[in-house]
Formats: sequence, C-alpha cells, structure tokens
Amino acid sequence: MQHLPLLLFLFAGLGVTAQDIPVVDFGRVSLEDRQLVAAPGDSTAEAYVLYDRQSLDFDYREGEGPTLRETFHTRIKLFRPSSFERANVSIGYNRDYGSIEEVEGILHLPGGGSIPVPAEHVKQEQVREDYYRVKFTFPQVTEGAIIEYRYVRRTKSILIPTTFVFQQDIPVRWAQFDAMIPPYYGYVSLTTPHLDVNRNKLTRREWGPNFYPGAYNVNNQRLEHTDLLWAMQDLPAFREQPYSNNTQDYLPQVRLQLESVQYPGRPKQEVFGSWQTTVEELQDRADFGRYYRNKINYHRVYRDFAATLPEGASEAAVVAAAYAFVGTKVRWNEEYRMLASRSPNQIYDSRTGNSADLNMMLLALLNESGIEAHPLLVSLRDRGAPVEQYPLLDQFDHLMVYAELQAGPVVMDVNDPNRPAGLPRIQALNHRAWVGDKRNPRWVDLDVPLSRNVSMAQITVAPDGTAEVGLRMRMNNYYALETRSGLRAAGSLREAPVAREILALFPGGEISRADKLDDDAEHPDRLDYELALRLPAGQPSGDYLYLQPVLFPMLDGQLADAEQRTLPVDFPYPWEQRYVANVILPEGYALEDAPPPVRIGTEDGSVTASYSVTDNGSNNLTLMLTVKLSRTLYSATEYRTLREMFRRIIEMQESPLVLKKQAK
Amino acid sequence: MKYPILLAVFLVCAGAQVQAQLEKFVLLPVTPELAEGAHTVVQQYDLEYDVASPRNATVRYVRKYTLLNSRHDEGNVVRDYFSDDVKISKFEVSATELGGKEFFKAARKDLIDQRAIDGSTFDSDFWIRRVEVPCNRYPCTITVEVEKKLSDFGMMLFPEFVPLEREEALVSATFRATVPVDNQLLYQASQVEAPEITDDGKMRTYRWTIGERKAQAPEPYDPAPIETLPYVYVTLDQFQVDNYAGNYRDWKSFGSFIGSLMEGRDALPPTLATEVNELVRDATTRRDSIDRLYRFMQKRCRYVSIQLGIGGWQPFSAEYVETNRFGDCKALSNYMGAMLSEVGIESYPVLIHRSDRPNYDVCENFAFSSFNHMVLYVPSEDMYLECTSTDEPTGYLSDDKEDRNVVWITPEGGRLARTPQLVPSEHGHLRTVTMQVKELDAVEFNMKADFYGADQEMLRYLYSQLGSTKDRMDFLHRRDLLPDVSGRDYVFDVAADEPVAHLEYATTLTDRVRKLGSRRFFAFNPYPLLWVPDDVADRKLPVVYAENRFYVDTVHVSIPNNLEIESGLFGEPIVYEHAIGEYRAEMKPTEDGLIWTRTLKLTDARLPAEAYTEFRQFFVDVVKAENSQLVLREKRTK
Repeated sequence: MQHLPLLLFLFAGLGVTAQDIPVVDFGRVSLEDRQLVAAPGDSTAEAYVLYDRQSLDFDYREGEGPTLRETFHTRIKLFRPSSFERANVSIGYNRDYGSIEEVEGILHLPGGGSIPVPAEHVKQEQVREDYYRVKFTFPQVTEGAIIEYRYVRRTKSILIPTTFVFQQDIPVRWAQFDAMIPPYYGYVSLTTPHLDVNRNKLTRREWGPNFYPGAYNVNNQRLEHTDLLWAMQDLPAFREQPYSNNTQDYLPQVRLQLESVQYPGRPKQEVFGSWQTTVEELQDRADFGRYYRNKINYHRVYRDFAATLPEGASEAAVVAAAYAFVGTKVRWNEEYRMLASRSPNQIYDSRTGNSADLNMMLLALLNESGIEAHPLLVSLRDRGAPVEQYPLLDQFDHLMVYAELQAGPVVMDVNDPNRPAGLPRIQALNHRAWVGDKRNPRWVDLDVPLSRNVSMAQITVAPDGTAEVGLRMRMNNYYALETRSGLRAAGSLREAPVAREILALFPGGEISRADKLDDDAEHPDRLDYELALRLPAGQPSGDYLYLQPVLFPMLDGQLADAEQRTLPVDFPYPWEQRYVANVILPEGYALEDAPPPVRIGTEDGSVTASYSVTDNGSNNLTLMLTVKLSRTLYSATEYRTLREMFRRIIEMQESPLVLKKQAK
Repeated sequence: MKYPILLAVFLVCAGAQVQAQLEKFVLLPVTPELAEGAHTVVQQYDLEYDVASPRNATVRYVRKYTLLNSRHDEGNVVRDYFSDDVKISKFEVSATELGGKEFFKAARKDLIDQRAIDGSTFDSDFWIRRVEVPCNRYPCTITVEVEKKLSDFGMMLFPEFVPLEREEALVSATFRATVPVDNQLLYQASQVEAPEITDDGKMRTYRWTIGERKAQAPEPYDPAPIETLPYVYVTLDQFQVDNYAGNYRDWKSFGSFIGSLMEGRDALPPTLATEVNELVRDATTRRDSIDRLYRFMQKRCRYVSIQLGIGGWQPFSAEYVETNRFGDCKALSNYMGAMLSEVGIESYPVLIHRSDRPNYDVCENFAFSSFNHMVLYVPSEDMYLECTSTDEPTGYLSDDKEDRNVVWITPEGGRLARTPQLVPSEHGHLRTVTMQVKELDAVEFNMKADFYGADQEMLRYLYSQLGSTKDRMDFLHRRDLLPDVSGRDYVFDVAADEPVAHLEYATTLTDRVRKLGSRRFFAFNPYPLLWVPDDVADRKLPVVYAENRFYVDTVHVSIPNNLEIESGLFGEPIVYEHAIGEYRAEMKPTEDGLIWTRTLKLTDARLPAEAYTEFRQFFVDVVKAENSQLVLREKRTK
C-alpha cells in the first residue's frame, strides 16, 4: 500500500525511461497510426487503444473548498466494424456530486483528415432522477479510423478519485495515470500494478487557499505538489474465464483513497485512521448505527415483533423468529447496499428495502431482544477481494448480521425465509467480511457449512432399455435452498430442479412426479425431495443392454474445458454429492462388465471422488458415486491438477454398465 | 354481487404438482374454477379512450388484479411509458393484502422515471414510469389508475385492449372509446362480442365488455397469445402529427402518411450523387448496380439506434446520413433508396416486424401499426435489402423477417405484401466428419461443414463481431460446433456474396471412447440432435411449428485392426416421417469401419392440439436414433 505524500513507491518494473513518455496532443495523430492495420502482437483484435490517460488534479474555490478535477483522454484505433460500438460514447454521472465538462471528440480518417464531433451532437441528458449522462457518437466511422475524445469530470468530494484501469478487453499501447496532489492531502494507493513507468517528484505550483496572508504573500502561493506519473505499455487484451470471480483484482489499476488532510498550522485530520475510528463513526451515522441503536427508529417494528414471541423464548427461538419476521414482512428490492435507505420503522411501513435495510432491521430486533449482534460488511463476489489494511468503506456493498450466540457466532443475511440463518446470499460469499463491532472491529473468514446432496435412485430396467426411476434426495444448505427456489419458479414438472438436468441427459424421458417430502418449516436448511421418471437409460443391442446408471451430472464440463487458466477457480461454497443407485436388471440379464472401483483425490484432499459397482446377485446391483469439494478457491497454477480430477470424475459419471442376457 | 364472500380456494397449478405443494389454501374473491391454473386474476380492467380531435386524446384505465403466487412475471412492477407527446396526468398505484387492508400506496418517491434506453438504443425520447409494489405475501391485490394525454406523435400510439395474458384469469373488463362524429374509430377485435355503439350527435361511443375468462396455460409451440385471447385494437380514421395529417383507413392511406413523413429527405449531396453514378457506370446488370450500391452503403455507414421525436417515424435525411455516416433503420433505408433512385432503380421503404415470430401479423382489412423495423424493397428484382447490416449478402432477408406481412411504402401509398417463406433446402447444413479410432482410445476427428441460410446467420454475426481466433473458437465450442478448442487445421469463413459459412477443424479427442474391460463404447455421432419438446398431458392449444431446415451429416468411422464392432450396427435405414419432418439414418460398412449418413428435413406446420403427442414422438424417435453408439471389443483369436 502506498502513502503518496511520503513518496514511498514500491511499484516494480521500470522498463521505460522518462524520455520515452509519449507527448500526445489532442487532435494530432501520426501518419503511422492512421495507416496502422492491426494491433502489434494481436492481428485479430477488433480495436487498439493507442493512448489512454487519466490526469488527477485539484481545484480550490473559496466557499466550496477542494474539488477533484479529472481529465480523461482516450485514443482508439478501430480495425473492424465490430468495434464501431466504441464510437458511441456515454459518460454517466450523478449531478448532485459532480459534472462532466469540456467534452471534445475528433475522428481521424485512415487516409488523412480529421472530423471533429459537432458541439451540438454532444448531449447532456437525464437518465433517471439523480443520474445524468453526456453522450455523443462519432461521425464517419470507418475501418481504420481513430476516435479520440477527452473530457473533464469534476467531483465535489476529494475522498475517492476515479479508479484507473490500465488493461482493457482490447490491446493497449499506452495507459497512463498522472496526478498533481497538493501537499495537504495524503492518499494511499490500494493496488500495486507492475508499472513500466513510475515517475514521482515534487513540483512547485500555485494552488489553493492562502494560509500565509501578509504584505509579501498576497496573491499566489507556490506549493510543492506530489507530481506522479504511472504508466504501462503494450498490454494484451484481457480475457474472462468461467468460474472466476473478482476478475477486477487481476486487472492492473490505480485505486486511490484519501487518508488524511493537514492544512498549515492546523492539526492533521485523519480521514480514516483505523478500523476502530471507522466503526465509531459508523455507529454515529444516521443511516447506519443510529438506525439500529436508537429505539425511536425501530420501536414500532419491535413492538409488533415482540407481540409474536412466546413468553420466555430461548435465544435460538428469538433469533429464528426475528429472522422469519423480517424475511416475511419486508421485500428485498434486489439492491445490495451497505447503508440503510430509511429507518427500520419506515422500511417496515413501506414493506420494501435494500439489503442493508432488511439486515439493519434484523440487527435492531436482535439487539433489542438482548442478543449481541453486529453489522457485517462485505464486498460482493464480483467486486474484488477486500482491502483489509485500510478502513475503506467504499469497498463494501452489502451489509449482513454477525450474531454472537451462545452456540457460537452465526452470519445472517435475511431476505428469503427459505434461506436459513448461516447461509448468506451466494453473491456475498467473498471469503472475508468485516465485523462492525464497536469494541472489537475485525475481519473474519466468511465460511459456510458444506452443502450436501445424497441421492438414492431406484432404477428398474426393462429389456428395451427403458428405466422406471424413483429418485429420493436428501439435501441440505445451499442444495436445499436452490431446490426450494427452483420448485417455486418451476412452471411445469419438467422445469423442476434436478429434473431439468436429468431430462437434458435423457431427452426422450418423462417425469410424473417432483415433490418435496416432509418439508419441515423448522428446518429450512434441509429438504427431502423426490422425483419419479421414465427414462431411456439403456441401449439394447442383441443380447446386450448398455445402461447409463448415473442420471445427472455432478460436474459442469466447463471446468475441464480450458487448456490453461490465468485466473483462479472460485466456487461459492464447499459441497458433497453422494449418488447411490440400486439397479434392478431385466429378468434374465446379468452384469457383464462394469468399471472397476476407484478412489481419487487431490494431494491436499480438498477434492475427492469414489466410484464402485457391486453385483448383489438376484438381478440387482448397487452403484455408488461420491464427489466432495471442501475447498472453494484454487489458484490458476493448481488448475492442471484440478482439471485432471474433473476429467476423471466426468468419466465416472458417464461410464455405462454392460448387461447381458443369460442363456436359459 | 356474484362474489359477495371470500371463498377458500385451493390453487392447483395446471400440470405442476410442484406448485400444489407450495401454494396452500388462500382466500380469494373468485371461484376455484376461475383461479385454476392462474398466477394472476384480473378482477377489473376498465379502459377509456376519449378522442377530442385528430391531435388530442386521453387514455384512462383502471386495472385491479390479484397476484396469487410468485410465478407472475414482474406482475408487482407497474410501468407505463411517456414522452413529450404522451403526458401522464395520473399514475396511482395501491395494493391490498388478503382481507382488503391497504398496505401500499405509491408516493412520488416510489415512482421511478427512466429514459427508455437499452443496450441497442443509443438515444430515445421515451421514458418509462415504474413502481414496484412490495408484494411479500400472496394473494396481493394491486390497483392501478392511469390517465395519459396524447397529442401529435402520441396520437399514433393507440390504446390496446388486451385484458389478460396467458396464466391470467379475468373477472370483467370493459373498453369505452369516444370519438367525434366527424372522425371514425376503426377497430379489429377477437373473442369479444360486437360493441354497443351510441351517438349523441357530437360524439360516438363504442363499448366492449368481456366477462369471466379462465386462465390459459402456455404450452410448447403454442400460437401467439393474440390468436387465442381476447383483444380489441383501434385506430382512427384521421389523426394529425405536427403538420402531417394522416389516416388509418386502409394500408394505402397509412402508407401515404408514412411516405409524406419521408418526402424530400432523399436528396443526395452532389458529391455523393457523382460518386454513386461513377460506381455503377460499368455495372453489367441492374442487380450488379444494386449490389455495388449496397456494398458501398455497408462499407460507408453504420447503424446507430436513435429514436427521437417524430424521428420515431421520420428518418434522418440522406444528406445527414452522408455527413455523419450513421443512421437508424429508417435513415439507412432512406439513404439506400435515394442512391438507387439516383441511378434509376425504384425501391420502396418497407415497414416490418422483426422477430422470431410476430405476436400479431398485420392483415389486409385492418391498417394497424405493429412494426418495429424498416427495410427496403426493390420491386424490379423482387429483392429486400437489410440496410442496417454491414456484412449480409445483397438481398438476404434473415430468418427473423421472412414469412410475414409487411407494408411497402410505394409512391401510390401503402401496399400489404408478404415476405418470402423459408424453404428447407436453403437453410441448414452439410457436414462431413471423419472419426478414426486410434491407439489408447484416442479419436482423430476431422470435420468440414457448410452452413446455409438461417443456420449461417449466427456464424456470420460471430465472424463480424469476434476478430480473435481464440474468441471465435471458444464461441463455436460453447455452441457445440467444435468438440474442443485445442485442435488444428481450423478454417472459418463466411461467403461475402451468398448466405454460406464454412467451417473446418481437426483434433484428437480423448473422451469419445469409454473403455470398460475389453469393450469400448464409442459415441460415433459427434453432433447428435438431442432435443425433444416437453410432454404435455392434456394439450389444449394448436401446435405451431415454424422451422424450415435441412440437415445432412455424414460420419466416416474407422476402427483399428485389433477391434471389432460388437453392437451398434444396423442394416436397414432408420426412417421416421411426420407432417413436420422426415428423418433418415443409414449405415454402410466399409473396409475399416462404416459410413453413417443422416438427413433431417423440418417443415413448418400448424397442427391440431390432439396431434401433439405424435409431434413429440417424432422427436423422441429421432433422439433415440441419434444417441446410437458403437460397442467395440478386442478381436477374439481363434
């Protein structure tokens, strides 16, 4: 992590000298760039970023204080028509917090000549209440053209400058972040990209309020600014991969955050000093601590909740009741937030709220009931790994509840009453979370219990290969949750959970039943589920019958598809699937051939699988297949091993059995 | 009062025991029979349309409906559109829970106004007002009251009386339209009794009433909802947009109005006119000229969706397109038409509904605008030109525009026409694969394929959108057109002048032969057709099958000397025939294996409901035949 004013830059890799830094004037392009026909090293790229620059600067106006002035300058070569959408530029902003100004665009034709975007084509318009956008599209776009545009984003708050990402989905020749930071402001950098240029110096320039009034210092004051330039060059296009989350983490980028402010002669003001001060500030915020700590904000909700509680309810009963109460009374509006939009009383009246609204209501009910519970903040799976070193609030986008129960801590993320406490939304399973405990703010692992699915299949095979199948499944945790949700959404039997996968494997199959069994409202973490199907599971041929006994896949083929990976494999939760099939053979048939029993596992034991077929005699055999995945995160270097495991498991689930008609 | 008390209703969702388990007893002001199979009951829908003049009208509606369970599709989200010419003067939404207690009444802060833009629209004058009702429990009854003032362009947006969708039941609905006697309401209705018409000398009033309707379940390959549910569509004999007077009396009149909006917008800048003439100077035929100009436009211009003001109907001028080199479908069609006109080739702009299957196919006797796109028609060549495409062959009309009614905007006015129907022989693929089983059970795979017509569209799009070979191979693999991405001899190309895409690929497959003791299971068909329509117990609606395709796959299989085929060979061809298709698979032995050839012809058809079982069985049979595999075993020594 970097403290900019101290100029302690640890970024590695300085392959370019300061003399190599390109000087790019808006509106002027070289003949070579006009005539370029492909990106160097990537002849198939649809477009090529010739230049991408973000310059951070500060303005100061009396009465307004400091503001951010960020200048963006982009130049892109368009090689193929598929890239022409890039010529439609749309820049969004919130008018309450800033503006977009000084927008200019110009198109450079490959054969010479440049055409500016007419000023009247640059439109500023409202998209919804608080959100506006500036947009324009380039005229005369053609293959080989270069689009170039720049604009200034002014932002009232200097807390978090815009993140600059060096790499893009097309190759980049030059990407540059530069900044001129007044000495009063201390920023930290949250990322450490491998830079090609890392130039840092002090530059004197005029800026800001005059803290030294006097006869000889009336107008201008020249201050030593931190003058930095970070750049990367010749970056390949970035590619997404399946089963990867937090892809943003793997893109080189600059994320700055204001750490402190110190004006001359005044004490240093920590913007964030520690997680401890942060939690104290949060507790004082109206849209955070006060909503669940001041009873005036939740008294009506609590009154109605308390009326539902039996006298002397146990701790577990109170927790379950509070969780169910919020889940049934308030509808989630599909928005993830770490701050509440309104007080719990107001949310209760409106019956709808964001994720923080719901969980803050739960916090209020638990604390008021004497159960110690704290806010638990998390960044979602697709938002990047959390930064634990600095108390950065903007990295969080979801609030949950961390309750300290007698039986141990439990994470609650209320919404769907079918999803029990202890099982957060899958999007929230981003490995680490921060507990906003005033006495002991801390990071904790966001572990969830293993989700298990045990399937018992009774397969009665006819000589023509048709199989009558009764499938009973005992599921828990996320399997139970997903199946319940799937059942709710299913419009027909064929759309019922698991049935979909089975019928995809046996397209001519028919389903006659898909039911929950012993659905226990007290235990939403468990589910017994039953299917009845008729499937073309066997292929008869002369005296032989070839049977496919594993009825649904346990692993997605995509996992074993890639030759290599550059990104980690990230599963949301650990799981185990056990499949036991009791196969009744057709009269007069016997097992002729079956795969030998096998047990495989990774070196660390985090993935294991076993397979066996037992001939019980009397036209009956038993197949067992178990796959367990107890770790959720695997690095890219571990993929080769993982892929081999997955391929073996897929082979197990696809292996047929050979049955043969016996001579009478 | 027919429903004075709340009745206990046990909701049984049609064909879905899964739902019966979830939705227990609820209390509703409807009979169990009416609620059967519904996720929503429309209790009341009253629509009013008051036309004050050819340029002003008011639309009001009250819609009260009960969501019975969570299977509704965003039924709790209420939305309507508005613009400068469609002003919302009232938008009230409230909701009650079981027993009638109101728990929600939308305040201003609950209303969200959003510009109607999506991924494909760059600019639009339309906005959407929406509110989400927090229905946490069911039943949840929502009442919506809206009033909208229409003027100018808004006059072309007529209210549509469609009281219910599939899986919705209806208690009652009314539609009242009042029009000055010097104007005329034109309408088309289905499954609704004739309107009651009254006249006070100044205003004429039409009134339609619909009573109870049970919910209609969606079924695989069912007709468009508009064919099986009640509706009333209306237009006006006279309306006015800005200074343009128009009428919907017939297609001719409506086409004249659209033509008047386009009038004078086809003048080419002199430099472009010169270039155009130069371009076709040595063209040998009229078709050659069209081809040259179409290619010229494809190279020169790009599509940008801009739906602004009267621009919702009126195109940007040819000069504007020439200056900026972009435009929407209307602007580009107008531009192309202007160039053709410059060289003496007549063409007509064409209003069309671009979709897999139009919900409503316009008809001869009722002029009603349900179009979302414009193309160009060249009568002298009987050719349609899609002017938003940068890579389609000249005259190619894609799958989503064929076989439907359209309106040509001719100099004499509008004329209803029908785009060509797909012919199976022009849409499909010819593919040849060699599968050579090698040692260690690896299979050498070689494939060459040509895709035609509708089946090449996705490939052509992919070819234009993805430049990187790796991206293209990934995509083809995800679409099951390549068995992996680690192979060799990859060739992928699309023909510039005809709707054909070509693909070649070779690789070594290690997962096609499963070894089991001395046996090997070999799935020799690398591209099995594995799709079967859902089984439906009690089919109610006719079957509408719209595919027209012809697929030919040939697989040459060779196996090593040490193996022999234990089973999987068949002597007689496998043949299945049905009204919608013909399947034939043949297997011929060769010196070192066999050749398997399969043809599948699919033809569009409309079948009665009772034919569904046979329709499905055709696909069941096909899948069974497609899933055949060879069982190989080591040769036994004598």
